[in-house]
Amino acid sequence: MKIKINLLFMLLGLFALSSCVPEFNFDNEDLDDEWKPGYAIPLLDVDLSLEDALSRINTNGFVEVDEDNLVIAVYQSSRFSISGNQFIVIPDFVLPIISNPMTVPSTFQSPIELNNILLKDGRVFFSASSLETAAVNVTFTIPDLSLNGAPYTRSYTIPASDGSTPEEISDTVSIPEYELSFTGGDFEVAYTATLTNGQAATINAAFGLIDLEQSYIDGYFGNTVLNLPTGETVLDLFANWNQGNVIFEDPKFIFRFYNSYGFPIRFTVDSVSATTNFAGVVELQSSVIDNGIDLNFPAANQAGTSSVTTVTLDANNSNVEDLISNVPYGFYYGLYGESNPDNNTLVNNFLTDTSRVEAEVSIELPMYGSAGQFSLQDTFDFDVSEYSDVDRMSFKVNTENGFPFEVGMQVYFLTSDNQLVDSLFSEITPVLAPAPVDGDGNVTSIQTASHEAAFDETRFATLKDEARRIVLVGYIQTTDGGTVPVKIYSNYNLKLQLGAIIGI
Amino acid sequence: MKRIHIIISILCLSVGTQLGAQQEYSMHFMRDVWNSNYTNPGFMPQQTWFFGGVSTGASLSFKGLGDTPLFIEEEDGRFAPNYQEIIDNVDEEFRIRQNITADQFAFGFRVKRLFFSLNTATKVSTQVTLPRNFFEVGWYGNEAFIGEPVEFGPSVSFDAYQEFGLGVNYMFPKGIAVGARAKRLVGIIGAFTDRNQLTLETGESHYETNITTDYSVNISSPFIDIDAPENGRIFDIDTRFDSLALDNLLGFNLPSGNGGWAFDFGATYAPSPRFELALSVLDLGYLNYNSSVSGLESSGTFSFDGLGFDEAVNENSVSFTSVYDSLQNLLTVTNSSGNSFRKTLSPKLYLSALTRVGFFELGGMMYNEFTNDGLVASFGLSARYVQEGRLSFGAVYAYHDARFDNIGVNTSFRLGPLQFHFLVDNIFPLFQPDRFEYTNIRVGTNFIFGTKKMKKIRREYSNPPPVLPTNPEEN
Repeated sequence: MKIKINLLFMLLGLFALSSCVPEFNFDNEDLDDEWKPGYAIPLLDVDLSLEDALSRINTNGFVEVDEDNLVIAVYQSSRFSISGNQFIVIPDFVLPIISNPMTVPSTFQSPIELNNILLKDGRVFFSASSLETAAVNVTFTIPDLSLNGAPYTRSYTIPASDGSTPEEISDTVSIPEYELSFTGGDFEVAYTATLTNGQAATINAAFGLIDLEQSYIDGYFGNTVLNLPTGETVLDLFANWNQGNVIFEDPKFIFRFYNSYGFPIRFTVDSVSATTNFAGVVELQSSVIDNGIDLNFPAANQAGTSSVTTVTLDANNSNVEDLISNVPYGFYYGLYGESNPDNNTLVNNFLTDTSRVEAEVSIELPMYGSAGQFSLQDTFDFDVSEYSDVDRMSFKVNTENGFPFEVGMQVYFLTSDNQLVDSLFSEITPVLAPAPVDGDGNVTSIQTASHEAAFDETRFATLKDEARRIVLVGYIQTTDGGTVPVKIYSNYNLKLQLGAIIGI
Repeated sequence: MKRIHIIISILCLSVGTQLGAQQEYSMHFMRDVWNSNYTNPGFMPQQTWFFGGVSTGASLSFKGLGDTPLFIEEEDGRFAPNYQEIIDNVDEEFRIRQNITADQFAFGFRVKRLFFSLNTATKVSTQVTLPRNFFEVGWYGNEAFIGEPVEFGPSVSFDAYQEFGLGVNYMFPKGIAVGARAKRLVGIIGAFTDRNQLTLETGESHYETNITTDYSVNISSPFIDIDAPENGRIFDIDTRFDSLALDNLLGFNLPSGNGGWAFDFGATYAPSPRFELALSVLDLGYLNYNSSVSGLESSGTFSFDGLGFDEAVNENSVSFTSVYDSLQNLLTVTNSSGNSFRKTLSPKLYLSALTRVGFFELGGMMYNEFTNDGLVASFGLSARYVQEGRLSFGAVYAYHDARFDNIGVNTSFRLGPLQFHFLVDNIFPLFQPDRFEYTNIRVGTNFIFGTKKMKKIRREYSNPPPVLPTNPEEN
């Protein structure tokens, strides 16, 4: 009985206990609404001179520094060229040998004269037939075609004929690295034909020099026009220009020719024009190029090397300063050349299969000048909808600017159909304050600035929902409102600290 | 069965930089249950002999929330964590303590006035102390602390050890009984932070981040090897689990080298069967950890001011993705010397009084625990209905860790020699989680024999035969 009472007591206790056990909700459905931490994170701490930056970035030669550390922006066209084998082509010679020996004239028109040709490739063809009833031994030679001084010679045996039907032989021999001489305007071929008993035999013979390609050739090549493909240079710096002016104190327009042809070439500038933001198409004008540009060329003992010819157009000899002030964003060049322009046959010409003439056009903009609210604008795709966990975001940027220009920026956030959603700042904001300069345009002290931009939950939600494009607008204005020229040296530096607060 | 107890005890990671132990209110007054003797070895046993079965108890307490409810009741009656109010109202320090005790075996028998007992138990204790800043940094992020240093280093202490106890109780005449228990301790896992400085400072300039650390963790574990990586990155810490060592442990091959001793002393005075005074001092001892000792530490000032040019710029593009990596790997950890360490047990003192009126027992107790974090003082009142040798049930009220709202219930009953006991020292958390601050739950069984005989023996010791009046005629 006592045991039964205790069992009942235990069961009642367990029942009572289980009925009052509470239910818990650990799903944290409301946690997202309650938990809104903000994380303050340092993003950037950069203290960098321009020199350091340039040493770390591959500028593709875009930026150069002169001996005074003045920075020069260099816009350089790709090289455009013609090469050796496009210029001289040696024809095939396929002839019956009607005399023995036989002199074969070269086919080049006077005054063109090819003296020595080192062949890179080519073939000799020889055929002969005989009605002799005994075998005929034939030796074919081209004295003006030699390898290491030994004339080209080949021997053949024509089998005995039945007297009515001729017996024939033919052969083709590859002749790379042979030297072929056209000295005097011709070359000679010859053969001997003897019977096995030593008596002279009668044969019909023909030969050919075909598919000849030279690795070197000299002589006099005459007067020939060399057409260069059209060249183009795009100035990215100005491609996204929006407004404002820029003045460079000493811009240069430089033609460089790299010539490995061994004869005089004169290039004529057919046209050089620039498409500008202010004045449409503007022609580059200079007396230096009016009469053509005579290229330097290597001497015969310098075969395989290039001679460089540089022509510099600056404010003293051209309208380049005016042209640059019109904010050009594309340059187009048309050049053609002429070999032996003075028809001086006394000048020994040569070329190799690697000979070429390359033209390169550079625009050098030394960073010495002024800019007034020089604005740039570009548009990018933008989508922060994937940052669904982020509710708000703010940025803080601190700068210590050692450069003599102010940089302002604004970011506009647009919908996919270009409707304005929001902007980073209430107005375009100078994020870098310009360092002051002395009378020579040199910076005298650094300038500090600090700016913040914040997107609260409402604004950031709108960005996530609607913004799909951003328009980045920036401007550069040199010290004193762009009224005085400033210089930018590679040892100027910028300290930039960027931090962000991300609210999730 | 032993395996299960050890696994449960070790895996239940819970919550004193010292070795803690369960705080018992109800059990102290459940004199009919042998396990009450663990709160005072001076308690006169109520059976001539017994086999102690499995008795498992766990306690969990939070300190530092004041009156802030841990959970809040939602409209649907369910209880959800009360995050915001906890964050806003937590004290300078928030302490979580948890103790698990798994009594696996006990045996006791009377020899005239002596009562001997043997027992073994696995005990796990954990204490985590979290500064208020720890919560605030986690809840609000470091944005709320821009420009001011914030210390948020948690301190942790964890121990799992096996206890082997030999107890003796001696009943003097006139209701006086004294007892002592010597406890051999074998450490299974020990870990604690002996330095816990973690200071975060977020600069006002551009949120540059500095973390100053003087943090050290000492670990003794036979089946977990922890090594600082060569690169010092905290997320590359090499943790290797030695399953063979765990198998050995589960086979009750306890690690050698982690040993210690502890002693309990107690006395009771019962001038009459209706009244009893009791005093005990428990856990005077230590545990040395000498086996598989390792340590990790981080010391120094670590700064991240943002990516440098080379880190942010790759060719002609800028990327901030490495910011996360830089912050994640800001701290570096190294192996510390791995010296052996000693942890002392937190001494405890029980002082109680008990009066019996019919079937009712009314008692009061004062409990003091001397922890590294200071004195934990509690008071408890108990009222119980006791049909000796059959069943008992009762309730306790406790002032615990500066909280007055602790009411517990307890019961014991017998099915033949098998005695069950169940207690909850604070019942509110079971049905009102919003009032959860402390609870202690224990359930277990014992096989007890000779309660009637022991009752008679105790009465004899408590009530010596009356001195017969002197016969005037003899004078």
